[in-house]
Amino acid sequence: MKLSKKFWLRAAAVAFLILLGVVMFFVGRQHSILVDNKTTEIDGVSYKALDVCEVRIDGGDPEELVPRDRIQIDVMDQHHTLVVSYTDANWEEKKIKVRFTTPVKEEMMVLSIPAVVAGLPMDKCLTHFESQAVTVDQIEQGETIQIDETTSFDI
Amino acid sequence: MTKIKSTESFGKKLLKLVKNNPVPLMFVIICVICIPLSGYSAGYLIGEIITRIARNSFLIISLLIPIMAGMGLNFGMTLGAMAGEIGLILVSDWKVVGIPGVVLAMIISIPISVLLGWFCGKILNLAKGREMVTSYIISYFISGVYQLIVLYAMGPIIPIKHSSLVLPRGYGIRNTVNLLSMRQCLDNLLAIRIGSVRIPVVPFLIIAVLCFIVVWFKKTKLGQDMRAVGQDMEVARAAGIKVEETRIMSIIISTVLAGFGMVIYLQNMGTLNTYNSHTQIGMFCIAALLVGGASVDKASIGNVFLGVILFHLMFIVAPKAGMNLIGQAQLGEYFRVFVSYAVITVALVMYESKKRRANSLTGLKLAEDQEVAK
Repeated sequence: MKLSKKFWLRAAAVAFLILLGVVMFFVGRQHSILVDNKTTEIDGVSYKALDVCEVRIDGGDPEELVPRDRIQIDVMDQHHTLVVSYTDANWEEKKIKVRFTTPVKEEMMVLSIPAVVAGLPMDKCLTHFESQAVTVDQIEQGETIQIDETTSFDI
Repeated sequence: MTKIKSTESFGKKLLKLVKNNPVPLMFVIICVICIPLSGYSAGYLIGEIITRIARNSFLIISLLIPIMAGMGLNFGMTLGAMAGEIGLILVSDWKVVGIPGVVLAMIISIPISVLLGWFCGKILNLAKGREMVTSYIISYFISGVYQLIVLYAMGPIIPIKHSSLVLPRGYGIRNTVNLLSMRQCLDNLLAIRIGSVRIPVVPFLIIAVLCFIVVWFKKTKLGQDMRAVGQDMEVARAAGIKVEETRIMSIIISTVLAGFGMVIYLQNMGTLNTYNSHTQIGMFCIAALLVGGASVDKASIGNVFLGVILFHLMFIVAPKAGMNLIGQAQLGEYFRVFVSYAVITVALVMYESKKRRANSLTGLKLAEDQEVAK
């Protein structure tokens, strides 16, 4: 059976839309990165928090961190650039620039700045973050759903 | 002598203008009265109108194609709006933000809109001549199905994992979905500022492209078929046009465009009222189109823009004018709601009376011709 030109045009349009959708999903996927300046222990080695540092991801606004600070930076896409500026023990200004990738399925990740400064590979510095379980007193009250002018019910 | 003749013709022209455009003229008068009473500055009003043109025009343009196909005002555009909302809910859950989120929501809305448009078109083919009331009731029916899906299927059947979207009971979507991550992303892209007025260039470009597509579409084979079907179904059928298919196609196109329009509308608003956002959208878009001078069987792109400007100008100034006039902003709110419904009623009555008058004139002419033939 010979398929018509119309069929192929429609198939191409559908394929294009699916492809565009997939591209949009990857390009627009948001990841939250918790940038952490805490003393951390990785593989039995302790990495001390920096006294003060400035971080910038993907050319965004610079954020200043002091020990025990944790900030959330939301980024789009999977490929990112991190720039860390800090003063080392010899009072020398240092700037580190690293590239890293966030897996598509990861929504929130922790990025340890002391580990980055120590030169560890990114898979050690950037780890999955699991949000804490909701405790009983945090459970919210129900909502009233209004489906039209006359009908509403509590959930 | 010549002077008198030209005055008469001007008077006749004016009378014809008033006779042909009573609704837009009524709104011009309302706006002219309300603007000074509201006390708003010209800059503020222009800014608001520009925002609303960018927000609403796409949705209203989606109504043009079914009118061209003789199916009247497509109250079933609500179906497309629901498809757009489903797209936005899913995109919010998948954490796809910004312009990619908007584009993805539009893409997701397409198959849903096509399916709903096909369903709506099939039913409208069974209710020829009563398309408007049928599409109005279909929109309520599908709204019920939408609520069932969003309230019960989203969570257990359609995976939704974010607690910010899911109701505390564990399934169903909350009353409001926050779209801050994509709020005005289209409006802010390449926006320019002239004085105090911000012009969202990208939505205007999108609307301009759609206008060109509509103009181009009218000249295509399908567009010509739709016009033929709109003028006389039986003649079109005799000419070999697949009338039913053409009508379904017009509704599908309108529904898909309404889905896109709803995404553009909601990205501007920045929040999605899950159960109510779509309910009034059809009514307000149709009212705006009618205010612009369109009728059940004739509408143009010019009607869209004039309608948005006049209708929304009244929306902006009426509450404040009501407040300043009698100290109650609610009066203006009531005013704008009843005017929305009233304008649709007036337009429908006028359309019906015009049709009857034309029929009776045709009958008289026929009788006259028969007399002459005798």
